[in-house]
Amino acid sequence: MAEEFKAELTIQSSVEQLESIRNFVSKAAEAFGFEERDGYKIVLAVDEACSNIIRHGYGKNSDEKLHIVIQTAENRFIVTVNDNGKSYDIRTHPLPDMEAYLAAKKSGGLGIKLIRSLVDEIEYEQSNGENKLVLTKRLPAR
Amino acid sequence: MATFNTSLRESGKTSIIDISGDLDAHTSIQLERAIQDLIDKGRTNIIINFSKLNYISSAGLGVFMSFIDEVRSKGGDIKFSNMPEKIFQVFDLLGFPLLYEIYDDEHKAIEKFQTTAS
Repeated sequence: MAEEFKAELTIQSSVEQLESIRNFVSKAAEAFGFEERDGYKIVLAVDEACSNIIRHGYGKNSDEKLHIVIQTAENRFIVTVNDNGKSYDIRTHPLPDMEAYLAAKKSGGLGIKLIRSLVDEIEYEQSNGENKLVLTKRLPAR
Repeated sequence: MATFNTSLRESGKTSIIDISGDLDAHTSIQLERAIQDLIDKGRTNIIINFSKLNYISSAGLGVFMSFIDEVRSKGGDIKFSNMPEKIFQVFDLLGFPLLYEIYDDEHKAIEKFQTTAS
């Protein structure tokens, strides 16, 4: 994608909408030039972030909405997720030691670990009841 | 509507669940039910064949984590086969290959169950 790009999606807060979110991110990631493997990574990171907002931030209240904006700038693919739910800064979430985690066979909390492994930068802002999470993935150098 | 399907095959004492489509926070309940049904029937030699799976998120990974102890305590196992590379990268990122046996070919997983059967 030579010129800068911007696309937006507003959806209801429901896990049924996760597929629409993935399709939205996936199309833009492919057009931007990500290989399938890296495209999958940014799609998964956004899915995990939205899934957390839907289930925890909004407590599964499907009357609420998420607003997702995709922008590109040079080699950066930037996804911003806006919501009005309970605020939570995933950057400060303690990450499990995976060896101990697997040994304990826990079944939750893997999403944040994935998000932090999958993208290059995470920004988070909370103001006036609005949460803004920005996930950035750079196109690998060829 | 996310598309996800499970279908069941049997090979002797081993049950094979073919999963296809997208396994996410919406569809993972279907896989939970499929595995729980097998456990309820006493069939705990389980292979998950991933060849037609397009996508997995942590909700799908959590299903395997939640059943593995119970299945192993009953003398069985959950083994994985035919995993596309894009799916494997998610398992690999979280260290799952340390905990689960992953085979490139379903038949190797069946053989492993046969050779370890008492």
